[in-house]
Amino acid sequence: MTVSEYNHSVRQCSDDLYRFALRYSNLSAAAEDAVQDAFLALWERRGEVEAAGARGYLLRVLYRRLVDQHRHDAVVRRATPAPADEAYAQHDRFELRDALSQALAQLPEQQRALVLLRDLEGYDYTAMATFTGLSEQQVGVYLFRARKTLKKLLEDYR
Amino acid sequence: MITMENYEGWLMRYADDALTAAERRQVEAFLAEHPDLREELDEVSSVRVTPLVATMPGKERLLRREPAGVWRRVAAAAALLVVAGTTLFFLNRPAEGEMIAELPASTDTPASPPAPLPQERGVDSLVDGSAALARPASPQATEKYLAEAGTDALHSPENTEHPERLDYLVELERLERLDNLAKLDSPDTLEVPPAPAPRPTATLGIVVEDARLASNPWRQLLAFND
Repeated sequence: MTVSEYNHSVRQCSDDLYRFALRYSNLSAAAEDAVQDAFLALWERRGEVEAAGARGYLLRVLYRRLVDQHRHDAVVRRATPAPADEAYAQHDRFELRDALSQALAQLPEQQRALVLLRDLEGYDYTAMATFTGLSEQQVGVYLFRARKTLKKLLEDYR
Repeated sequence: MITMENYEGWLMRYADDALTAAERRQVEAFLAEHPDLREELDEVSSVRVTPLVATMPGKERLLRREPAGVWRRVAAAAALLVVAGTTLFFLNRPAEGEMIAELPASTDTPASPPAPLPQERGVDSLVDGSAALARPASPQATEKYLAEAGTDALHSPENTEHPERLDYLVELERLERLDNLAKLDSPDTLEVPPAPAPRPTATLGIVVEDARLASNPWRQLLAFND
């Protein structure tokens, strides 16, 4: 892709990627870092990535980055003793306090990613299967469970 | 084959309209057998994640500098042509000095010599054959003449013999000098040369109407770029 095609994808995709990352990680700084990393990767691989495939490439890098970050954070959380003030720790971990963000944070990684790919990016089952390496039937199962959990959590929240 | 072990994936794809017509009929038959699953179907169909209203901070920092496009290159080439053309045009033009000599351009060098003084007031008509007191040709010359000769020239033997004539001559000289100075000082009496007429200059198809622009190649370029 050319430099102007790259710049076009910055203008076209960066906000959507940021919203995806924000829903996934619940932390604006982490979301920002992940989006920046995704565009850095796209810039470095611009020789191989076609303009049409830029958005998909960005999403894959973003997702990988978010998963790594999440796992890293989990390790750090386990390694560091919990602060005395549990409410403060919660606030620190989850910036977004709305019910949906809270509920999403409780989903397993892959379920969360699939719900976001489907609802925010409008992926069809073929695309979701390619993205996650699952079969379309498995994608359906994960999505079914994810939505059921979300429904329950949102009803509890009310 | 839809079973109670794998129905989740089927129901979800049914809800998301991701099945073939034949598969849809299978799901509908399965739902008819298990009416309690309708509730689950409604549940999973009703939950959707909405995007947050947020924009990526510092988006501009992700942008990269784009190389000059074709049109910018064409524009640069055109500008180069104009510079070359203008330079050639001015090289083939008469030098500025020659122009000024032709045009009565400066206000302190009158185009025509000052009107001659009336002969009866001329000093030389009063002092017979006195070359020293010849009427100066111009106010500048008068100044020079008076500065160099001073009043000494007036004290010729014959003038010294007739003091009344000397006084008259000195007074006359003073009046003439004042007269010339007045002509110098008053702008009304000076012939102000008319401004040079705007000369349309065609170079590379660009017509420069303004004479000031024509005299400055850079201004001309700027005018083109505007």
